[in-house]
Amino acid sequence: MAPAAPMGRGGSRAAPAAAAPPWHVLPDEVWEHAFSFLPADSDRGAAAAACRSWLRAERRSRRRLAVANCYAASPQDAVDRFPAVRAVEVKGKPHFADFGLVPPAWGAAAAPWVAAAADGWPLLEEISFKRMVVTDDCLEMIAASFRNFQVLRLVSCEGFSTAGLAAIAAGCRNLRELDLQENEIEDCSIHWLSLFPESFTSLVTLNFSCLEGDVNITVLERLVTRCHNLKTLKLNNAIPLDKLANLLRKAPQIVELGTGRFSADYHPDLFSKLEAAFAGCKSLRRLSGAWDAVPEYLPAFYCVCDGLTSLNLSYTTVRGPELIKFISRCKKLQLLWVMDLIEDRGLAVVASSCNKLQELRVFPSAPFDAAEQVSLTERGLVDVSASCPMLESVLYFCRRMTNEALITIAKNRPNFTCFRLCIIEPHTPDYTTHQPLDAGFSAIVESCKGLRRLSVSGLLTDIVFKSIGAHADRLEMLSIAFAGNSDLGLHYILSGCKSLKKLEIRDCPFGDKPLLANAAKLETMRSLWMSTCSLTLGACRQLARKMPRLSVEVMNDPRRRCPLDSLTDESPVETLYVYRTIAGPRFDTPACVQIV
Amino acid sequence: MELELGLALPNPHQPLAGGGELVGLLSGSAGACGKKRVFGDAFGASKATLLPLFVPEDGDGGGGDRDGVDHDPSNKKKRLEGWPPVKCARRRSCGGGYVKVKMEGVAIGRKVDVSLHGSYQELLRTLERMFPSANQQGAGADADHAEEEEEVASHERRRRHPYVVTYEDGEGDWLLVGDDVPWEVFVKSVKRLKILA
Repeated sequence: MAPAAPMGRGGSRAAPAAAAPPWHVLPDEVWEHAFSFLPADSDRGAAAAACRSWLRAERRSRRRLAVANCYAASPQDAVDRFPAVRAVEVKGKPHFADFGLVPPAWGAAAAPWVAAAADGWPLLEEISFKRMVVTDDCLEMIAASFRNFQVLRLVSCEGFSTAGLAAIAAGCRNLRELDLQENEIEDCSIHWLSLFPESFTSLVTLNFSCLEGDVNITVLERLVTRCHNLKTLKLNNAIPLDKLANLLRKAPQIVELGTGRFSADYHPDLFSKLEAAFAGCKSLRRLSGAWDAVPEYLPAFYCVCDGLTSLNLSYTTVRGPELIKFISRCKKLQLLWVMDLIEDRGLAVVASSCNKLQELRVFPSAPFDAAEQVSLTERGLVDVSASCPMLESVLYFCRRMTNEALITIAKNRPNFTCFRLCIIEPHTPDYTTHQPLDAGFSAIVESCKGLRRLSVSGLLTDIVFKSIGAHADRLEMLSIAFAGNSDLGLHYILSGCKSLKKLEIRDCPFGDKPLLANAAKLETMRSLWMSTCSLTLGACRQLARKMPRLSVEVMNDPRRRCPLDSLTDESPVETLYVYRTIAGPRFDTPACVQIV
Repeated sequence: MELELGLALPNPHQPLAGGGELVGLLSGSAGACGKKRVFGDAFGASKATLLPLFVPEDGDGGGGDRDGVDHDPSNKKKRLEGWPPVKCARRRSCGGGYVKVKMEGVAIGRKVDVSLHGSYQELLRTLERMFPSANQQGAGADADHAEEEEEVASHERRRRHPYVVTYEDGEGDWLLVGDDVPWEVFVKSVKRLKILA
């Protein structure tokens, strides 16, 4: 808020006579209005830190709240501080929970958040939970507590069943979005879809792709027919191809489609039916699905290829020519997720056809099979990074890499914001020189000044961490596995990386010293995960003593109970999870997790 | 023989050597397996072995020793759990026999890749690890005892409170795990598991 009067040259400005009050006593409503133009939470947070009146105005008008770690603050803290919230997002378990590294029943219960919200935010419209335990009771409470509830997004959650979904369907009259992504949902064979009343027509997004059970297709058809604003529809595996065609005819306005099971014996009639159905979907821009796709059916999609901006074929086992032919027609693609079955030659076609590409993810079709069956190498990534000038986000699983390739990629694409490379076999060196891949990853961080997320892999020494620490100024999230040779590696990271928020490390020879030497850094970060490193309990104890605003959690083998008091300082620690919190230690840990 | 990685305990047929490194275990490279023969070399291609079920055994040093495998707990650290970093749903679609496991009285179910195990014995061991019994969790002083004593103690506990593991087959019937069904047949037909407390 700049002062209204201009600064005159050489001295005092002429204050206008009378009316306008000095800016620092403007009423809160003015600030609230001003802050409503700040889109980013971080900007609002910065404004709130300026002075008390801004703090008051900002927090009382905050509508959207993102809690990146559910244990960083208590639900009551959140509700008290931000009483006007209409949309809340809460994240729970650490990222490595996705790969089974977090013990069962670790925590991240959604119930306390739902309870506090029900009490303090009756006007709440949107809830988003990620990696949390959401029960049917939670869902029932949501359905009963918020009169204008509109958006429910559950990502990588567990603990609920179709009974909970039934409560949502029956109780949320104004629901616009039901978005279920990669959750573990117990199938209680309740026909939850039928519980959307006949009068209910407000759905814009319906995503039940992760549901494993059957769905009443007639009910689904009726629902889709009456929800004229439906833009996103993502089906599960229970919907056969011919029913898909029917659904598409009822919802030609669809923008995003997840096809579910796309597999059937080839029949020309069914092909024509599908082709005609897709031809009617003139607005379709994003396509995904668990395709056991039969190649003969792919041409049915050709008519929509022109308009597609997003294509998620990461569950498709179609290989070779049909796949490549299909993708090469999608010239406007911005996002492509695909299996490594595309191989280098397919990526070469992507490189030449899809030059608007911004995000590429290549997943392993056979992650646990050491035999190399698929010809996907560093070549594919080099090609795409050379020809796609807007490419900024990459996740790439492969089995070999060279420093030269990485250096070339870094030179071609200084605009990377997210670079995640996973060389499947740990400790794999540059396959031509047999050197560590330090030079390659160093080139990436030196060239890509806007890099926010990085995952490294292959054979790496402490040298690469020196580069990362020194150059990756904007890096917020770093994942390290099977890398480094000494404490120095960790020290370089923690003493550098100015913007680091999340650090996750597994199977590295990092010990106590760098952790303790950089204890203060941990309070500037959201969280640190270290598993199968060289930590001792004594260091964790010291850390906890030194840094009271950190929660230091230690996890060991779930079968061994670890009453910490009886263990010596020298005892090794299998897993350490440290995070800053204003809520103090939590009380919902299972037996194998202890707060030091 | 394929190299198998995953959530399972070290496959006694293919231990991992060294600090977490994968060792190429193509059949014939017996030297890579250290002191024991690769199962396939000893018994031919079939991995199936019908072992009696519910044999009271302790967690680490018991039944598996018949292969002469080193079940030193430090080996468990070298198992590459959660690597490569692909989400569970993706592992399922990559083939393999991921099935859901629920235990009576436990709210949250888990998943286990049945096809990564070679026998009922191994599967049970994995299940015990995933669902430590209430007794194991409740006991206070055991962690002070030596490894061996703990195993004896847990062996005792298990005799008092054995798990009963059931599974749903392709026809939707619930059967007792191990009932006269060869392991390989079981792996193909199992849809999900339930542990009765």
